[in-house]
Amino acid sequence: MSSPLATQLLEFVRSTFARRSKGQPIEATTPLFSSGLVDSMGMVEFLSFIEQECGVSWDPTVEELTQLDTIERLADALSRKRA
Amino acid sequence: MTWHPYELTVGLPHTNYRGLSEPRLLMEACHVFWQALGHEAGKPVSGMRNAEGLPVYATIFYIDAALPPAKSFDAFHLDDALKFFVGLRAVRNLSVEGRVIWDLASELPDAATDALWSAEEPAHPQIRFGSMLATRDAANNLKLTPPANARLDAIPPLPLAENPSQITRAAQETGKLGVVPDSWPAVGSPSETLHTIDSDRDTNAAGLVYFANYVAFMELAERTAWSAVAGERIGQRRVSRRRVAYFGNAASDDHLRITATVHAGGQQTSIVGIRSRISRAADDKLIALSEALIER
Repeated sequence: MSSPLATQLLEFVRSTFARRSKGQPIEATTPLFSSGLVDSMGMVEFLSFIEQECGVSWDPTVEELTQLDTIERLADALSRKRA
Repeated sequence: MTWHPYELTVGLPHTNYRGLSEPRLLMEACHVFWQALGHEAGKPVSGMRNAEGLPVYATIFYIDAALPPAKSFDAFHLDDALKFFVGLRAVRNLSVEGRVIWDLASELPDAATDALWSAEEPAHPQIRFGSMLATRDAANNLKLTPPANARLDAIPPLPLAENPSQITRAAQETGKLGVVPDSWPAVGSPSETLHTIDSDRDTNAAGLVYFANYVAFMELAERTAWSAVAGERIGQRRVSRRRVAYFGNAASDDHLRITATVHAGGQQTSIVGIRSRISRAADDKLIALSEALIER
């Protein structure tokens, strides 16, 4: 079962990047950055969303974000940060 | 928001036969934007380096220029004393929005407040820039990267809902920027002009085609499109609004294809909308989109 945070992130990604997915489903395990679904501008918006809507202050490097790459792993990293 | 003041006396390099040159004014406006960014970050943008020691550039992905009636570029002349106020908002160390208010110095107050900026009906010309901090990778692509030797913490945060990146993304997906009304029909056929990039003239210190030069390329396409529709060479004209979204850049040895379409202004026969698209000849990739409202 996905966490509320993962659900929140997934909804954001689906609503913001739907057109870029070209009809492919976006799931919690979908690669976001390595696939090009979320580009550089999108990465900035993603971090804004995490801070402003999820209330998590997080300062990852671009490389860290790319390594985590999926909603599942990102939500897990953020949950540990919140704890 | 802190508003940084700058001054400029209009000289011949800033002008063309119509008055103030639009691309050159955009260059000056972006120059003071980057100066303000350097001031807030405690380091000039030219000196910013990422963790690998690579140069960090503030690359423009969006501009929105609004000019009130009687204050278009042709209202400004040689030796006019201009003043600029620059306000910044940022997303962490990665992206910066610049708000530039400009006018004759005599028309502006000594200091600016947030109330001087108006999204709907500005009293003074104003320009909004969207930029990302990036470096060039081995393949000459721009890659998002924060500076390791500068912090933007002092800059107020840019709310997600107001980030112009969303307008740029929507423009890339829809081919529209929301300036030319959908109800305005296209007139005539699109005109196409080709521009061979001149690396000595068209590039900046980062080795990329300078963002303001895209507007210069578009001006030729706009004149050509208008001439085809109106059967006359367009001379004096007033830009009241221009919005540009940038999706990529071109190699300095590439060619650009600029396509411009005129849209009739309905009842307002003196105003037309022009949508311009710039694509790279190398791979036909769309790299910039502009919509402008122009009064004859």
